[in-house]
Amino acid sequence: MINAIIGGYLIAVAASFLMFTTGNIAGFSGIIKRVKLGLNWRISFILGLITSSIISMALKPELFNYSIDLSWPVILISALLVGIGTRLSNGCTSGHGVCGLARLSKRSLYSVSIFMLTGAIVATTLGALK
Amino acid sequence: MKNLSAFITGSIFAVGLIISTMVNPKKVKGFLNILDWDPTLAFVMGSAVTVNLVLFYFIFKRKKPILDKEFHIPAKTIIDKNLIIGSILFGAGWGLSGLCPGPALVNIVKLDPKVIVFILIMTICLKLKRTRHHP
Repeated sequence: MINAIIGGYLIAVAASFLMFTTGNIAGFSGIIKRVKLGLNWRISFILGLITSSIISMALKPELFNYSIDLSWPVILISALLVGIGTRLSNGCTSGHGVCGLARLSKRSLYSVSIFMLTGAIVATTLGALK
Repeated sequence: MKNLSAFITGSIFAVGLIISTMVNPKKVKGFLNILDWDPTLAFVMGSAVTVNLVLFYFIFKRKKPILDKEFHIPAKTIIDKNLIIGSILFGAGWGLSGLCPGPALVNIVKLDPKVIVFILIMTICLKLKRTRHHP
């Protein structure tokens, strides 16, 4: 529980730091959508994320002690839905969720309410069928 | 400097996603499953949004960020069909696998072929050029 709150704080500090220094929204779908090869802030953001993940895994492997227990059909359908969905709605959990709600964006409030609802419907249904 | 700043942001963001267990698809599905609810991620989202609300309030009192001429905030404010349909599709995909774009990228370090394929398909979909012309 305390780790969840500290993790949330770190996510907010990261998003606010980017907004304060570069004026950009730390939203993953937007960054992936617009990233180009070369030296630019979006590549730097992704490199920072992956470098930090590698170091975390080396220092505290127990944090990665979970399996990606998903079937191939689930991976394929989910990747299509997440990619096409965030492309259409211009944001995901980070852009609309963490950043959009915090800047009181009406679009983000609609988006988060809807994706939380459909996410809950799908996850609850699949959980009940298990 | 902007690149360094973005690199630091990505580094901190990753640690936040990892220690909060947001990177674990099972925890995400547990959070979204209301019949067998795991509230952990509500604290992640709750604390992230609350802290950001306060920090953004002060940041937007400034005319511009420290390393750029202006804030890059989306100009669009209307609720359109794409926003609604996109959010429905994204939510369904998120609830199905428990993966959203940020955690999926962090999970690349597990070198699981399923994660890599997920990222590839998601990236191709995000980068698709719009073919339909709008008036």
